[in-house]
Amino acid sequence: MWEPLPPGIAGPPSRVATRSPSTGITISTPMKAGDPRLYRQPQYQQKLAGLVQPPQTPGEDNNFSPLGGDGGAGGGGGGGGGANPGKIRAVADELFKLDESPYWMMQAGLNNQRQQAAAYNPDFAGMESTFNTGLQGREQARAADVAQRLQALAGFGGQLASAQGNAMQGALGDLAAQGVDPSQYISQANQIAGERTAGLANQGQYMGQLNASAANAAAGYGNAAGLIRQGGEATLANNRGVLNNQLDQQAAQIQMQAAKDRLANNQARREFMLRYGVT
Amino acid sequence: MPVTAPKPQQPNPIEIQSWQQGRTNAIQAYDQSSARAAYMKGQATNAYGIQNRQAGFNNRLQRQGFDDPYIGRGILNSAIRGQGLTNMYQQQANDFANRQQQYAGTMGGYDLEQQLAMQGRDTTLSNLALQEQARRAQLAAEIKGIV
Repeated sequence: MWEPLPPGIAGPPSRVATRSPSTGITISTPMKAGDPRLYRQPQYQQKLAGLVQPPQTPGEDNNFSPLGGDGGAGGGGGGGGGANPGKIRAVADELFKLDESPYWMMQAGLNNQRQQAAAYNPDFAGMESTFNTGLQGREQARAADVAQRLQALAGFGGQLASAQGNAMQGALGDLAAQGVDPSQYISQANQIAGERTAGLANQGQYMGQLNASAANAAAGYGNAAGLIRQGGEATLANNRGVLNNQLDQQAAQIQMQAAKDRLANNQARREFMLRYGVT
Repeated sequence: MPVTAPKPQQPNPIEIQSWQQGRTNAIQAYDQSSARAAYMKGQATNAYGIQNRQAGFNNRLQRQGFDDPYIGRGILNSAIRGQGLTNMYQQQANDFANRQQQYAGTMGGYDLEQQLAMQGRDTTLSNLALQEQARRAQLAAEIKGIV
């Protein structure tokens, strides 16, 4: 057996809270028009005073009198005069005034989420810029290192050539002093110098290859960073769309629930009015 | 009332630690390799100088004793001695060229090692930075914290 609870716990006038003594569970359920619990609430008994008793329906709790008390049909004469449509409408307006504030609160929350979704603006370009700044720093340092090494290589070649030149000078002087033709020696020395130059050029060549390879890699990295930015922006757009769709669906559910509750409330009001013969 | 949008998610601390560790390892590996190459280049330069000094000494001794056999044979002013003297200087020039070639090759090898180490370091740093950018972009694109 469920027990009606005092007004105030019941929430909206068109709902009633009941508690199960065995389980202690309290539930709030919509009242049907004619539910005696609805009209027993003191604040409405006064409003309903003077109204005619509604027609009794077989199978329902007919021990109800809107005129007050549970005296049943016998006590219903207190109302006296006939129906007062204006008063019945006024009571119905108050009884079935649907509190729509929960829907508006939920809708406001959804609107706030929409605004948050629109205002969410991660700085993908900044992430790319951070990467490119680091990349350019390394690239500049590397290019400077290559230039320095090429310069050092040229200097190194000059040192070796100078050392060979010094060594040759002594030999050439001696050969000349001894009256020996130096052409054979000079020819070989030139060949040696050519081989040395070729060896150093080989080093310069690998430096150039590494330089080109690193420059290509840097270009590839820069390109990848741009693609990551584009991918992030596109994925965000997709995710934002999915999120907005979810919010739209929730908004539609709220609106649908509100419409259903309005319909049910209006139906209950019509039933109430019909009980009092007011259309 | 102003709307407070959520901030993009940040990588977790373990990821940040991992990136930093990767950067530190790459930089340290390059520094160690560079120091080793610089040391070995110094050693090679020292060895080259020592070899040249010793070769110069030997060359002078060789020149001092070069004429003795020809004097003994009475052909000091002959074409044979002249060719012999040319051959001696050519041999010395060859030896010198070999030392230079070896030295230049050694120095070039260490230069190459340094450059490869630098390129390896930069590649690792760029990979880590790109990985971080991609991860941050991925997290930012997820737009979490609203529902």
